[in-house]
Amino acid sequence: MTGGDEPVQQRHGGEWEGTRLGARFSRGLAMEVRHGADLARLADDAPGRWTDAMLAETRIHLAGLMNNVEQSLIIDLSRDPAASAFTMLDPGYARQAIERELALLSPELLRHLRHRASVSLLLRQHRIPGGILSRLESEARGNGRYLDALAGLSLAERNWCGPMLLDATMQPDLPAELFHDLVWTVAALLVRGCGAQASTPDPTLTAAIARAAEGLIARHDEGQGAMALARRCARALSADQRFAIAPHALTEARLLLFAAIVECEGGIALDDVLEALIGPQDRDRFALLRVMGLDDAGAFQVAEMLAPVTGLADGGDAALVDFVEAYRAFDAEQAVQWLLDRMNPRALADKLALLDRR
Amino acid sequence: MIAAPPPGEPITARLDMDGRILSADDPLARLQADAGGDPQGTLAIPALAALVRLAARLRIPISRAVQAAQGDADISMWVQIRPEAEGYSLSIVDWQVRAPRQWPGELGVLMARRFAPPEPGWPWQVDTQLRFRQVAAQAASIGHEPPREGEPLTAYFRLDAVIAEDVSPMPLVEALALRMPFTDQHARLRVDEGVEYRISGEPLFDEDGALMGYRGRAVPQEAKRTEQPAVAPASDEQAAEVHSIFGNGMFGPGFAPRLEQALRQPIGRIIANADSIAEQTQGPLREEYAGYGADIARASRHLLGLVDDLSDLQAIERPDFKVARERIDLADIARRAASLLHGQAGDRGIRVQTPPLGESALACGEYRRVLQILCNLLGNAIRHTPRDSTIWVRVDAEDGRARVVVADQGGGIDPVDHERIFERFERLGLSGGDGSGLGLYISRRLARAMDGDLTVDSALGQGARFTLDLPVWTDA
Repeated sequence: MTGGDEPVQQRHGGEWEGTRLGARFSRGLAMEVRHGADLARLADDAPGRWTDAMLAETRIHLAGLMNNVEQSLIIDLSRDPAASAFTMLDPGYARQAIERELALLSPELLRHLRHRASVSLLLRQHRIPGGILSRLESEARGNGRYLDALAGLSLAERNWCGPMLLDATMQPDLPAELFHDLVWTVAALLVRGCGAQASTPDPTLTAAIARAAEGLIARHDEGQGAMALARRCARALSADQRFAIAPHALTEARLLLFAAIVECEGGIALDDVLEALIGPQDRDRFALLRVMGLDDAGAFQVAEMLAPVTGLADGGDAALVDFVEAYRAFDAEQAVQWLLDRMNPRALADKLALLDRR
Repeated sequence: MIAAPPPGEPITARLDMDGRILSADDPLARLQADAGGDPQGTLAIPALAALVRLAARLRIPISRAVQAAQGDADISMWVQIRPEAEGYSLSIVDWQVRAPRQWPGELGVLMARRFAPPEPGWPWQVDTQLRFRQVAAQAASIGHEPPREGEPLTAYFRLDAVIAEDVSPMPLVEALALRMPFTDQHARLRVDEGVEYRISGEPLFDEDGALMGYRGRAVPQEAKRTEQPAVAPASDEQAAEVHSIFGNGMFGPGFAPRLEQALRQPIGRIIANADSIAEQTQGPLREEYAGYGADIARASRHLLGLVDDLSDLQAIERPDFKVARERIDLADIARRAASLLHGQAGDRGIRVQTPPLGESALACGEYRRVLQILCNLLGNAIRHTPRDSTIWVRVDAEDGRARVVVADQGGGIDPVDHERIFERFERLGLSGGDGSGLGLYISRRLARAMDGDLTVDSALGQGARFTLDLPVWTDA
């Protein structure tokens, strides 16, 4: 493991190398710890609750996405003679270098990573055993368009739940704006990394990296991402099927599908539904559950399922019982008011949400 | 309503680098036309246009769902936009026509109740072209025909301007340009101008923040009056206050600054905003609405001209009004005035023949005031002379006087009116159109302040010759 500010490590043999490797390992470990601490600090400043598990998931997503972008750029640049300095950087350079430049991560990307982390964390914990026909499939038998999209969504979700290795890559199935942002972030880190190694600045190298980044951006297909596929699923369902499938999507921890269905039916953006599901306000969850017609038993299952990200687990079983009792008191009229509030201008909704967080 | 295309068949379009449509399949072309867009123009469907802008800005393919309003229903589309070397390819792979949301059970009942609040008047919604999209009103409940879907708001209502201090004269126009909510827009039905309304509204934005239209309420004046307290007659103190403001003649000492603040700035804003509507800088509009913008800008410029005239009037009527005594060349100023009004004359095919280069007529006066007089005379001549005719501007100097003559081929002025036209607010019975009725009055006052005069020589049917006469410049 290397430090982000030391892109090129000298390689020696013999006993000395062992000592050197040991030192590098220690330093690498320290860097990882620092990465975790820095990310946690960044998360402290960001809105929303970040558990340790969510931070770990976020780190895996960020690392996987950056590794993938970096590798794609390397492959493109390997054909460009101007980019020979690029090969001097260790694999995973950008992922390590971001540790010192966490401010490069935009709030939008961080919010998206938090959503991804929550979704994948819950999916890992609620993996349905193979061979059992899910209600998500049985409720829409014969709807080929939906089932195809659902299969695609399942594969994309699996991509989010890969092995938790910092050196692994993750398909960068990001929305266009965020992918654009991430590619240029990685590109900038690589330019700086190569520049630090060169005795004189090489403008042709920067141009080559920029060309490769532009090519990568031009090839991106946000329509193959998990969120897009969830939306395709929801669009392929009839209104009745959406209301029938939504509770099962939630109890099976398929947050993306549930959020896409609510977006389709309620006109609330998928990201906002995810935020409401994993956010600090029980009232938001009550409203979503009531709007989509979940009964008390369903609400209990959902509360249990969401507990690792909402913090409900801290209160034990008593907290779950309280949740269901409060849900029982939250009637349809309150749910309608909540929905209407979400239909207010976006800026007002954002500010009200900020006020609610205080 | 646009029917859904056969499932599985994508709807495609090609756009150039500026986002203008090069070709489009029928359903999309009809949606574009329905949104008020030109078949070969920039995309007028706000949500699609926003995606094209995003693809253009990031040079990245886009693939996502968008919604477009279509009458009582929504069109929900899955759109793929791909930047290419020559522009953009657009493909809609999933086209769904959706009725308004039907919430199940108790939720549906509550929703319906929430969307029908017991407020006065009736709700309306318009698109970005100000065409009615949703009107919940029934003829029986509002006492007259409600607007038809697709009918322009400005064709249904006549919008009235209100001239009052601290009040925007046309709240809707100003709000539209600024994408702001508005209240208290005075309006009356075009089919029955006796029916007055007050309109209020708020902007609607799509997910990307682009304007989708406005929604609000139209409150009949009768209904509104019953809710407001009756206006009490003015007390003696109030009457005295009114007198103190208006009783000291037309212009108090702080008139000019108040005028500047109360009128010039808001009118300037209206002109800027109306120009941006007319020039469609914020997005495509149908020609007639761009035309309305141009009309508003033209009318506002007229108002600004009136403000300028009133400001001049206030200046020249002050006892301490003075003009500079400069060496000026009437021929040079005449050429400059003609060039300033070249566009206005060209629009009507009018040729302005000015003194040839090299000719001069030196006079004593204030340069900018003489230019103001000549612009006024030339502007009048351009307005009153027939299309494709000629206006002559001649200069001469004789007997210690320098003169500039502006002659047109218009309908002429009856000799009995020769003096009347130099009076304040005199427009010889003309109504509407341009002119405040102050231009000639001010011009003569300015000429006389420079020890000169402004006279007219004309007869009905023989055009008019206005002569500005000033002292010749002497170096002594």
